[in-house]
Amino acid sequence: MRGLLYILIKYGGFVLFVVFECIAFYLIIKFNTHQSDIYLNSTNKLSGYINEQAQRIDDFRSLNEQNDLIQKENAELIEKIINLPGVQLTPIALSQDSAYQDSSQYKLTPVKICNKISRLRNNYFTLCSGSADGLKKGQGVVSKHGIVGRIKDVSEHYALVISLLNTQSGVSALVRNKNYIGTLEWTSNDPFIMTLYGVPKHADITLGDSVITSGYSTIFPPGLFIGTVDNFKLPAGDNNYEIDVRVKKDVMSEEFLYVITNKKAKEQLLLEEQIILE
Amino acid sequence: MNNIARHIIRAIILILVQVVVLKRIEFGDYGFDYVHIMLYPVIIMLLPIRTPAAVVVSIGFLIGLTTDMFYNSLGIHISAIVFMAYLRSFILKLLEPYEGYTVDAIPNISSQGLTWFLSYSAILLFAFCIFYFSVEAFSFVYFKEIVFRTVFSFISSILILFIYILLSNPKG
Repeated sequence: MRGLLYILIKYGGFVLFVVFECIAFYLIIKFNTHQSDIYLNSTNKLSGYINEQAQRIDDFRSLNEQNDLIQKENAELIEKIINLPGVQLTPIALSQDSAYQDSSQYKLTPVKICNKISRLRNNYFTLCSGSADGLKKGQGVVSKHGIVGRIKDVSEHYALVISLLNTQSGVSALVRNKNYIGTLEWTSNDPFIMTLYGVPKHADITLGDSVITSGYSTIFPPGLFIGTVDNFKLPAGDNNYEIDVRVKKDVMSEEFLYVITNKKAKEQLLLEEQIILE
Repeated sequence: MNNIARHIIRAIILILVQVVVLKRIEFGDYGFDYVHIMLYPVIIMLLPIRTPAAVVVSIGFLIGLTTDMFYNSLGIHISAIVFMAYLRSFILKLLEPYEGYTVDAIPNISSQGLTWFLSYSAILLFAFCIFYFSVEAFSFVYFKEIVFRTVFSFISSILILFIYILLSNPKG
């Protein structure tokens, strides 16, 4: 008994060290791989709450600046509405016009960012809105500069967004006026450079061409601006171009995001599912 | 009792500072993501010298778990701080003066001297940084990132650590 106690005192530190390291590495593998980042989504009540409070202080600090920004953004939007051909309505009258609302397929919900997570090549946002605010898994997220990402997971009050700057991002995009479709991925180290794969080599691409969303999925509406062609090359022995696309803004520095609700997404997916059933 | 309360309050304050303030500090332009200031390991460094290794390691586990919750990186901080806590007893033995430590010795500048404290905290903090960034990357493919992050974070963290030590001058 004395001997056992002696061993415990002498080697207790080492035993505990080994045990705790094992627990730590188990947790890392369980919760930190890119495939099962369950823990990442800040749904944890306490840390989510504290992050939110800290963000609130941040918001307060930059209030004036943000007010100016919002005003500017609003002005731009209202300008667009007024300039729409055939529509001569003030914004207020527009929102009461139910006929107009029914015919618009895409609805934008403004959301706030709770937290930004970046781990090497994988960047995420946590939004302070969740299923209670009508967000759903798989919806697209945009800012006024272009597309930002899509929702990976929602809990009641939070949502996790995979940003464009993530190895898991992958957006169907096309080169404007040329209609060649490819997949946009982030493989560079530069947050301003995305890479478009899958454009066939017979396509005639010129520097400065606009790259826009294709709209072939239900996530983003067609024609949203992504960036311009910065550089392209044809890897030896490959049939497809690798096109570097320069985006306007580092998406991780965005402050104001909007979630896109596609009102007809369910209908489209339901119809497409029938193919599998046949 | 008073001493234990002081350690607990210090731990809570330093962790809050770490997760609310230091976590959000970013330096430089895009692409330069190498500076992460780590202040909370000082909680482990300031524990009394005679604290049993098992207790130090357990405290390290609890601190790491709390920090991880805020960093959304469950396990990474735990592994690094537990490693550092275990290393502490060896570093203390390595730096032990000829006449040994007194029974209630505290590892701080006023009782052990500036040189002693500088080497003590620098070794431990460097060990923490290199372990932390290696585990964070989880692969030596990112060798350059690990080295850069370790070096830049270590330099800025030890500066902040000394500012904290000189300002608060912890006695227990």
